[in-house]
Amino acid sequence: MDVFTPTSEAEAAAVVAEAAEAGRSLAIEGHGSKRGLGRSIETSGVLKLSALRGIIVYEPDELVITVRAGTPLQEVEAALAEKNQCLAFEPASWSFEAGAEATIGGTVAAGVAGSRRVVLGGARDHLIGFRAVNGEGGVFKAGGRVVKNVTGYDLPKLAAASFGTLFAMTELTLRCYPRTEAPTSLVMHDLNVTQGCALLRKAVGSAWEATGFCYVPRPALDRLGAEAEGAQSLTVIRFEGSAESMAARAKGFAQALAPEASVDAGDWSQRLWSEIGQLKPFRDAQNLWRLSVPPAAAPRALQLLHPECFVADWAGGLLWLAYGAAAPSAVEVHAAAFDLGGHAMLFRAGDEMRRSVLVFAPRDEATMALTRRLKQAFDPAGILNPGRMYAGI
Amino acid sequence: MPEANKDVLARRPALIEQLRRLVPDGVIADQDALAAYDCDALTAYRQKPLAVVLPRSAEEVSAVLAFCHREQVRVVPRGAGTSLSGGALPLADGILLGLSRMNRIREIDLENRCAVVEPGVTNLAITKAVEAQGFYYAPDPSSQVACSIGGNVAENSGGIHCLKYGLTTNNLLGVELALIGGERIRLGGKAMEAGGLDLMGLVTGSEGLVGVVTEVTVRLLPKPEIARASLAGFPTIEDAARCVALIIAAGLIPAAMEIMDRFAMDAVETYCAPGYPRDAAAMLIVELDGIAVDVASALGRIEQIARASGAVSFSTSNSEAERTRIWAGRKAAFAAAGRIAPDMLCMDGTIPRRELARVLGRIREMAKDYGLPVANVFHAGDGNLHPLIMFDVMKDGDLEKAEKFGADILALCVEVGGVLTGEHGVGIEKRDLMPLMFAPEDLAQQERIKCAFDPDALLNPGKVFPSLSACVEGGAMHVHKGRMPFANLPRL
Repeated sequence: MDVFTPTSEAEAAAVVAEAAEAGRSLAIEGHGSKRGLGRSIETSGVLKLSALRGIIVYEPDELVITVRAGTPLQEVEAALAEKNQCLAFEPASWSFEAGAEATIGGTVAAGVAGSRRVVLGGARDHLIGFRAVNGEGGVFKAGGRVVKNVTGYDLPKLAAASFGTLFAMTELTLRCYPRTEAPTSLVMHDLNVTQGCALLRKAVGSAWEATGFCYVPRPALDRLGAEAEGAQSLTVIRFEGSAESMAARAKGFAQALAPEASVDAGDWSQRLWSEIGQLKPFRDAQNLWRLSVPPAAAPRALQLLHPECFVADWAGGLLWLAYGAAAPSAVEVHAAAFDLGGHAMLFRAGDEMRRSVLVFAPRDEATMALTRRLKQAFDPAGILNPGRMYAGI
Repeated sequence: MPEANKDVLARRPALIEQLRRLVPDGVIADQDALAAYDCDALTAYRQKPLAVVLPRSAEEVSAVLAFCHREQVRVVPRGAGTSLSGGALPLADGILLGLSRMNRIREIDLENRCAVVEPGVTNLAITKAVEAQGFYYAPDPSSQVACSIGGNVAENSGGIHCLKYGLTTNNLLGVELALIGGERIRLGGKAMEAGGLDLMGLVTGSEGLVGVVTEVTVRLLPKPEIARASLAGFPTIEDAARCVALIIAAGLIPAAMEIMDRFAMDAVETYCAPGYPRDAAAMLIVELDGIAVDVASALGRIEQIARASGAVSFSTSNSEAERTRIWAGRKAAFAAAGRIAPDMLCMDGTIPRRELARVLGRIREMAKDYGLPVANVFHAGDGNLHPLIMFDVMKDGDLEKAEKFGADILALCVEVGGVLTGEHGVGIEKRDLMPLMFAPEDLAQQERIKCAFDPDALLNPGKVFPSLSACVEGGAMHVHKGRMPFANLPRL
């Protein structure tokens, strides 16, 4: 298999143009940290964007940064941290390959969204402009460098979570956000999942401006390390901001809605949220599903799909369901998620399974036809990550 | 606009009769009655449509679209007709598809913090329906009393509070869309994410060119514990602009930051006497919301920054009544400016915040050169300018002069790294300026998306894109780079 590692956007465009001409397909990747994400596909070549690296412009006073797609996520975050800023969507690396670094391009293309999704949005809400190479080797730009822009179609939304199936991004412009200190967490022990999720939904609907809402049952706690010994489950609400503000909000919330809750403002709290973001409880799971459902449907989803281990984030709106050998079929999971008004994605499984089952939720015929026509609008020869999301697209 | 299709015009009586069968009591064809629909809020452009069709249900929308597709009749969707960019300007050979009768709130689901509404529901009606329970819908365009949520989705509308809460696109959970062939698709729902390509994100802000919104699920937010506004007066508008850039640079994200210049302040003083500072050349309103302790500490820092930026006055609301008073003049600014001059053009470029002072200075010079007064009232926090160019359409050449002035302002916005429109949309107004911001290949890529949704260019043609395109059946397409000389050819 040919591996192309262009050192400029023009070179990347030439690689794609040549491949399009010859009808050769290309897998798009940075360092390959997310190779296991999406359907497993075989291509004649790999377009590796890891050499398109570096920060192009960072304007802290405008809260905007423009970076090349292959820049390691860590490098971007380190540059932002120096100016006391961050990416508000909490991009976890989601890396499955030991040693493979996540890049900013891959992170956005995979639609990564952390625990703050409920309040501050996901990658889609923070990508405000980009440059890319389409499937014909044509370079185009979309969006802009200002936060409020409705000039032309909002292609950054389409770019986030497109898994490289439409175009290869070469440059990304992202919103930055003021960084906050270590979070304070409000912790409730031993609620069952229905009670826990109900409390989390109350937190989302309250004026206390919490930024994280998760429910962690015992099996997941075990995998996080010897945490909260004896607890059957933890229901955790996160507050961020100045120390004074966090204390006031945690106290106010506890008094109003959770008098028995304990407050943790230390390393434990910070580590918990970070490890959940990095999917630490699921490091060894053979099959991992990611479900996005209406938050109130979370308990029912768990009842229907009885996972071996799970974490409910986004007040129940995001469910990570892990299975060993005895997993429900992909059809069952998709059907349950659909019936509850949400959707599922097979997040991790063996190559064979990712080749043979629906990894992304099936859509109705009209939506699939539209998806196919959009693919053609960017990549008429169908050479960019073909089949990564849906067979034949 | 695209040249009218003579064949369609000739078939008008038969088409109207068939439309009446699809939407009984919902077709307006009388010439006098059509006059009420000949423009949106960009009143300089007027055109009566072939007919107005007012469906009552998604099924009717779908049937009308399928019919128009079969008969190759163009369709211009319209919500409440409040577009400032001519997004709902009718076509002589096209129907105007008005969604105003689809105005029911279908469901309020506070457990999932969302509301499911029909497209004709007004923006403010959503908040009104949930405020007693302590919730609201965040995007608040100034036309929120009248503008519809379907139109908000089509235009990706903003408002005063986008700085903290985002535009429409950041506050949606689901959209049901009717395609030109009559198919209806559901994008998203009550879950945070929809899976697959983010088609909802693409559809939001597509200005009626890809489909017709038949249902919207919006995210509701809990009402903040407190909101307080500060009012600062500055010796120059540049000082006010610098203060805004410094507040952002300090890591503060207020709920809103609005600047008004002396001209606008005088206009509102005559109009509703809000008591704004008399000795200042410009004023800045900063609103903060959240919990009381955060708001108080942020306001303290903002006062320091404002004083350091040369503020000659600074006051902060201590009650809801005081806050309302601070906003009263700002909210009346457009109406007040409308009293001063017979006609007004409202521009909408966004620029990097640090360029505010320079660009405002340049606009003042241009106003002298053009001999047309400009009032500045704008969303300074996100760099979204709204220069109001005053003119008199009855005066020979005034409209052309005003439009040229507006185009120069937008060219300047792009030159300093900004964009043509921050929240009003491209529509007809800024269509021909698109090449200032996008290269032909950028526009060609966007037009291919249009083709993927609407290969026959029947949905709102003539808006957004300046160049001529043709989509070829079967998916493959040729994009010709026709430019302005072909002004009479069909446009997408």
